[in-house]
Amino acid sequence: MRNIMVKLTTSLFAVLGMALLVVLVGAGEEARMATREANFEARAIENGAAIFAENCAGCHGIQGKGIPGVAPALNSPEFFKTRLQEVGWQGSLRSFIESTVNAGRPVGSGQYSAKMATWGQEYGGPLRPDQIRDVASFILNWEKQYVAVAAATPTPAPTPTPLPPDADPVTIGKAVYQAQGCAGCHGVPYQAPAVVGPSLEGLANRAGTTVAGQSAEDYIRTSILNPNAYIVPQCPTGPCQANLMPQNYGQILSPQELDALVQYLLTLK
Amino acid sequence: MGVLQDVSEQIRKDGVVGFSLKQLDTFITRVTTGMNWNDLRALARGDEPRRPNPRLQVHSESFVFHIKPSYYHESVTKLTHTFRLGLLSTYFFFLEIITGVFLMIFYAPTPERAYGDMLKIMSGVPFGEFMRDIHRLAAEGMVIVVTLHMVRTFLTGSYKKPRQFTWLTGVILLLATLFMSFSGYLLPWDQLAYWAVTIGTSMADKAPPPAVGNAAKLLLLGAPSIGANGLLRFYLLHVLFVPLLIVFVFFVHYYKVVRVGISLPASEEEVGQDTAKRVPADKRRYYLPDIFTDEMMVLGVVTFVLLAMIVFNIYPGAPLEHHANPNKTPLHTEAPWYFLWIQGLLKLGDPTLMGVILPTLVFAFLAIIPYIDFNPSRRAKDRRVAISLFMVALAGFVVLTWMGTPHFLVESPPAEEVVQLMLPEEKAGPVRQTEWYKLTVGEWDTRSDNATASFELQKLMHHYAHLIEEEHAKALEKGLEGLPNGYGKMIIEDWQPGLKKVTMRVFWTGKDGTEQTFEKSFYIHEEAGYARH
Ligand code: HEC
Ligand code: HEC
Ligand code: HEM
Repeated sequence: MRNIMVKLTTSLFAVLGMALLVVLVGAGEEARMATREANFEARAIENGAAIFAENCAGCHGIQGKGIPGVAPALNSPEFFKTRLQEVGWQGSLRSFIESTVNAGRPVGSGQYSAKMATWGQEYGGPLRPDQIRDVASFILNWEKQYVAVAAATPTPAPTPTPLPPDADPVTIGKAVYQAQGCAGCHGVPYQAPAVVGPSLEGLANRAGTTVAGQSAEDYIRTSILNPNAYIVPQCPTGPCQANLMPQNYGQILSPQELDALVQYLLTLK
Repeated sequence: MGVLQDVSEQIRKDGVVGFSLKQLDTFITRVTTGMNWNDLRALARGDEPRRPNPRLQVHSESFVFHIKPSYYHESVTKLTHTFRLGLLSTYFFFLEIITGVFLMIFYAPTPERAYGDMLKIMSGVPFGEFMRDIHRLAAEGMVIVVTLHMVRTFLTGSYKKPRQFTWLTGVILLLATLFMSFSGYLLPWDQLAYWAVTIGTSMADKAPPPAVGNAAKLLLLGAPSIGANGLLRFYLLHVLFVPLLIVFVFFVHYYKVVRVGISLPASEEEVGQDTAKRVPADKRRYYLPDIFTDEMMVLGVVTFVLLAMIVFNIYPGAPLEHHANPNKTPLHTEAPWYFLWIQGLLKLGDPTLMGVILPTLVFAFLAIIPYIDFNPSRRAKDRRVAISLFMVALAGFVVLTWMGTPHFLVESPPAEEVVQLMLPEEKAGPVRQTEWYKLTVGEWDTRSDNATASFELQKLMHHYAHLIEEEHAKALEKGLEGLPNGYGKMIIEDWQPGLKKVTMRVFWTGKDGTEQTFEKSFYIHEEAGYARH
């Protein structure tokens, strides 16, 4: 084609058309992303349902209503309303479920004949992290049943107050401790007893003398980043085991969070 | 001081506006490496350039333009001579790099993160799904375009002397392009990825002799089966090694093209001659502005069409199945379409012969075509053998591709097949595509009229009955027992808020006269959104 102007105009229109398409996509992005998120959460619940039927229903009941003497109900109003306070878990219900399923509960409350096994692959169980998330999504989905009943008297959900950026490190550290589910194993010092890992009460007093050559701060930092470096002799239910405490906090925690966490643990005298 | 004085002197002479315009013109001349505003206008209007020709200066001054010849022979610039397929191959590759870098930002190649990152790209990153769709569509487009480019250079006989080596480097580019697609296939870490690549790498394992095959597979995967190491290696091959290889080989390829010139249509030359490089002055078409604007237009229109295909859902979107699960083999594993021909070959016999040796021979044959074709003529009428061979190869490719699909020679139990067709493990399928609340809770039977079910569910049950008959007939055709007295049930239960459990049960009479069943359960959430994707 000889006519340069025609070609340039066509190119220009193509570019304008592209820009229009991009704007079109951009305008719908917010809604599309929300839909996708709902889709993926829904699919997680679908997957979770299958995982639950295959692995958990035998003890917890097909509909999660529990089997007396075998395993507790997960599909009950108490589980969604009061269970966290009962065990003194400061994190979310999701983190409680995920940690319990992941690490299991090697030492049960004694009420049940069975033991809640360790399911997470990272602790030698059969389920991948995404499967644990999915089964937690499935369990959490039962909550809607109870919310629907309670909706008549709406109580505003307690939204965690975001910490001011200039909060002192100990406050932040305490929040990190709760958000990361440390309480699931170590309890909440001076409030709720430890279950799996050693109680951290009085940690600051002994940390400086536990490992020769390590200051209290170094010891605590090492204990979090590399739990196997030193295995504490005594846990609530006998000798502590290696490989039980997650090994990946170094990747999960930001340096600031880690510092704050150490500062907080140093106050446990 | 001197400079300031100069400037104020100039402003006094030209006025502020005049001075600014002059400065602007200088700027334009620098950016275009030699063309001022008037030159650009002349270019756009198709006027002749001034002397000395500033357009030629662009070719010598600008890196990007120096790669391109400053003029072409008129006959090779017709769209129907090259279809601009080489240009398009290059362009798709760059499009892949741009969209690929975008995706890289949000993706980490580890089994723990990869799949979750894909979900996040699609649900939490603005334009994430759009970019992913472009990347996937352009990848498949690149395979098509590169293949068509090869077909065109074959049909015009452009691989003959002096372009043998151009063709050879082209075959390397084709292999690299295929490997790009294949290695990218694994990265989403879903079932589709995992199993397609498992088949692919099991072929590496089959390369003779066994020690070599095993070593090749270990080298590729870093372990006996696909895992963290394999994912990392595929990722590095995909984002680093193969792209660098393509860039390098492309420059070799294109340097050759420019050195000898694009081949003229065969009819314009004596047999055995090659006059592409000697372009008479009256046959010259200059890159600036003619070819340049051709290319801009072609690329603009192609990109627009590509984006429109995605925005208007003509392209169904890059797939994402369930998380990769080594313990759960899908009922059918299908290779990406451009490898179906190999899967078809695999069904014909020994995997070493069919999956490794034969495909290797195919590509080796492709590579040496220019060196074994002694026919000097590029004219179609002199190339009966070559063109017939091409036709045979094309037919073989189509047939093998069809044979690679599950339609050919796959014997899964018919009851399982029925359930798979109603409610596939992956993708939507008719049950999931039915509106969720139309799935009436109850126990439904293909033998009854299911009068209390929703109309949509009744239709589904008809379809179910029909599939049982159809799979029965197909099985009989293959000499299997099929599903005599077959019928099906669909049990739908409310399971959780927004979640239903659907159990598919197929019944039939077995050889010994007793009733057999096959059963499978699924969970369907109201908001899973399969129908929309
Ligand atoms: C062998 C039987 C058994 C199986 C199988 C089992 N659990 Fe448990 N689970 C228990 C027992 C027993 C407890 C209570 C332990 C205790 O505190 O005494 C429990 C506790 C729990 C809890 C904490 C409940 C609470 O209120 O503290 C959750 C959450 C849970 N299981 C989820 C699951 C999931 C998800 C699965 C499947 C992946 C599963 N369980 C499989 C026996 C089982
Ligand atoms: C799955 C259970 C589990 C979780 C979750 C867990 N820990 Fe531990 N932790 C243990 C066990 C078991 C030990 C003792 C064995 C050892 O030292 O490795 C331990 C030891 C420690 C110690 C050394 C205690 C001492 O008395 O010397 C510290 C400090 C500690 N954990 C901090 C944390 C922090 C902070 C978190 C949260 C970021 C956390 N842990 C989360 C199980 C856990
Ligand atoms: C990434 C892949 C490839 C790229 C980017 C590429 C690029 C190009 C370009 C830009 C040209 C200029 C002329 C034209 O557009 O036709 C060309 C020519 C050519 N290409 Fe390719 N090519 C690729 C793959 C191949 C393949 C797979 C073959 C064949 C096996 C091949 C064989 C040739 C030949 C023979 C020519 C010369 C054509 C002629 O002179 O008429 N190329 N290539």
